Amino acid sequence: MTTTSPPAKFAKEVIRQEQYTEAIPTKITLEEASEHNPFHTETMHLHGYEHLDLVNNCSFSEVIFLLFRGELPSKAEQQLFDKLLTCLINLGPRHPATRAAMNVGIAKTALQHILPVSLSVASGKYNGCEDVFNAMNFLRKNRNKKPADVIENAISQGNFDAIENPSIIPGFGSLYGSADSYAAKLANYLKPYNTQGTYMQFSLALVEQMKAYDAGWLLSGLTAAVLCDLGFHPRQGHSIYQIAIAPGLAAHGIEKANRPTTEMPYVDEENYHIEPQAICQSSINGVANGGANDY
Amino acid sequence: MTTKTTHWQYWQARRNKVFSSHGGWQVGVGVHNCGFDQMKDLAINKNYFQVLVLNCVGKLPSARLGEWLDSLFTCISWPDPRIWCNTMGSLAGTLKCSISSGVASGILSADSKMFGSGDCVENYTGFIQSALSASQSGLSAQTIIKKHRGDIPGFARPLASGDERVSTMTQRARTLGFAIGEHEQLMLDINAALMASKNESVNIGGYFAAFMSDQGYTPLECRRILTTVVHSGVHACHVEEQDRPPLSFMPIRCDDINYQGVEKRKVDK
Repeated sequence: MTTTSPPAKFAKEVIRQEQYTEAIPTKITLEEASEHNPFHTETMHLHGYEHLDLVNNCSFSEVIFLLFRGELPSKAEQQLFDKLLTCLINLGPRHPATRAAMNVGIAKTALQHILPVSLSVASGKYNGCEDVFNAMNFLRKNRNKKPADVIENAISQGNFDAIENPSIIPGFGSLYGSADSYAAKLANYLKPYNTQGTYMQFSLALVEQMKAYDAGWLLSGLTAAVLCDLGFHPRQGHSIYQIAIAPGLAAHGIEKANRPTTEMPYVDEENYHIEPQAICQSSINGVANGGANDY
Repeated sequence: MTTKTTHWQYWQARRNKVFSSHGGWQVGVGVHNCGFDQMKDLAINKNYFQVLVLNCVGKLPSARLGEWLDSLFTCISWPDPRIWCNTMGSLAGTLKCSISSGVASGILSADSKMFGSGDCVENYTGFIQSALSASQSGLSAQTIIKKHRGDIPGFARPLASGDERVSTMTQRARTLGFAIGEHEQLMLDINAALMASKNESVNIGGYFAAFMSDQGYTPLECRRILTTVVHSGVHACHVEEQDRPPLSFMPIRCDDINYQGVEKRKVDK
């Protein structure tokens, strides 16, 4: 078939008749203007609370909870939320996101990019913030099922593999070949602060079923279970996880900012392995391919 | 399934080592890229988009596909700060962020289900490829539309009906000597059916998906190739606002916000 076909007809470009708002609606913030400048804020309220009232009477984590949930947390909720945030505060220097932060620092990159860059690296579907979202959705969808059935179904329908595909279900699986022992330790620590949590109980039962596969909690799954129990929506999971992990990423990145580049590993030639098909043999011989591999 | 005996040995074997199937810099020898010499083969003899596809897919496409992609990137992105990704450039510019911040923000914002270079690209490509299978098994374009739940991926677009970029790119394809392939033909058949029933037609993402499917690319490869497609317009929007006084871009007064939340209250502790 060639260009002899009659010309295709496409719709003419016409703007859709949709009503766009002129004033942005929000349930979160009320800003009242100062008398001398309508662009200046005189008072600000967050979900009804005057900002300075919150500054005077609430902790940082309580106000985070308020911003997302619309209500201040109860004492028990605050305690659990605060513990969760602190559990996540430092992914450690071996984590790919922290290494991204440290590379930003060592490369003398503008320091304002430490968090955007490293949080992007922490955004993934495996044990990252997208995994938190997926795990929250999964837990909400499956929480009334029998844990044994859920795992049996996931194993039979999925392709769990400790190396190639280390998640059994979103937020749960293996890390470096086996169940993540530190995530399990954090889960055990958080358990007493979340005794009423149905998602935590369900997740613990799921983890029990995964032991046969040397799999269990991932940090993303633990985050998901606790956030579900605290009443957060999955759409809020990404951001809360990012807020929680940000301090550790930033600290490690800044630590490297004035250090020599030699303070981070640079893989030497001997340990950089280029697979044979990627090597341009002719350039080794001093002559270029000139596009010989074109197809 | 990998047995438990592998445990952490896989990772142990990769400590402080890098393995690349794409290439790398061999100091004093050259830069290897998928069997090519980056300087002597690629920089001199190939166009930018051929090398972009090589980096995304591992195979070098023809020069004319590189030229087609050059035109695609040119027609997809333009300076209008009302478009979501471009807005990011303007907002970053008005706060005097570096252009890297502005452009990176714009590219990230196009990682979307609705527009740009995100999930939507895989959805469009996946749709047209599975639709072709359905068509080859005897379903008509009308039946494929009827059987699909929800909007047809790659057809219609936000803000406006129609998409002038499609006819530009179909003409460009013909000029470069690309014949209409099976996916593109099916896309045209679906387009004709939707035009008749809803006066909606294919969007540029849907056309890209069909055209690239005819060239043999997978949905994931299409997404990878298109990742930065919005950047040029974001550059323009950032530059424009960075050169203006701070906060010049669409300033909002306090009373431009429509608060719909709870009444004022006091912290009770």
